[in-house]
Amino acid sequence: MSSGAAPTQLRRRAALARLEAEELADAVSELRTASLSKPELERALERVEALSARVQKALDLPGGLSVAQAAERLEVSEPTIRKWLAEGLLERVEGHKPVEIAQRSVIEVERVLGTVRESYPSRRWSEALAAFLHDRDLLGQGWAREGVEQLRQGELIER
Amino acid sequence: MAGRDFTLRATPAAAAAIDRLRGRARKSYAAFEAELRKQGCGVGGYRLLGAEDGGYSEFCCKRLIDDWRAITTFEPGVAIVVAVGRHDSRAFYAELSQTFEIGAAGQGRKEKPACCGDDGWPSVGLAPAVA
Repeated sequence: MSSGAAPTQLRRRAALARLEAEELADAVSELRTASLSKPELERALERVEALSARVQKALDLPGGLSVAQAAERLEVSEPTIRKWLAEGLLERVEGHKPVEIAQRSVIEVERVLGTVRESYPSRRWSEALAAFLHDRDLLGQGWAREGVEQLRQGELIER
Repeated sequence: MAGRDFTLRATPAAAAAIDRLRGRARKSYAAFEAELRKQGCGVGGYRLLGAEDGGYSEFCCKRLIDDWRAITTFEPGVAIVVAVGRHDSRAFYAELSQTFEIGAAGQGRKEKPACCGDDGWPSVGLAPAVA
């Protein structure tokens, strides 16, 4: 198996992760309904962070998502996922065949898509993503970066 | 209307780039700057999406001529030219349509959020005109 773990081990890890996930869901549910003071909120957030870390530890397997899983999650076609992998928009898990995709990169692309869809007039994802990539490229030009950096430093002159 | 004009500022990099402009690019920028003083973000072009998360950035982009672009931002009563330079958007979209399988983008960008906008980024560039 590409994950290197036996089926029984995988089931045990999945069961443990599910336990942690259930507890995490409870903690979030409590946060939604509770009226907390700032110290109580801090403690609740620490608990959620600890639970999240335990879930990640329980699921600390080297595998990524399949192309089909990533496509379903991002609501695009599998060829599109492969294109995005080739262009570096998504990150593959090294040494895994068939191709697996790092979960973090899927989350990052999903976040960008979600935000861009909101910002873009038509909310059509493909055009919105193209617009995002274009604007990122434009703002990434050396002349643009230099200007933005000077603006951040307050270096302005009257005209 | 002189009293209502926007104060115009530029970063040193933008000012240097403006000084280097020649020919039609220089003329195009001069016309843009004159309108920028009068109308602020009303002539700022379109709002750029943020490089971090794709939300609205604080910057607008105005196509001057050919592939020359001016990036601006605004504060109440102040228009700021952040950067001026060249960016071949048509070539970028053409490449994008092939490499990212975004066919609809091959001809360029049809819809652009207005620089001033109705929500999100406040229409600060309009402040002097409505004061």
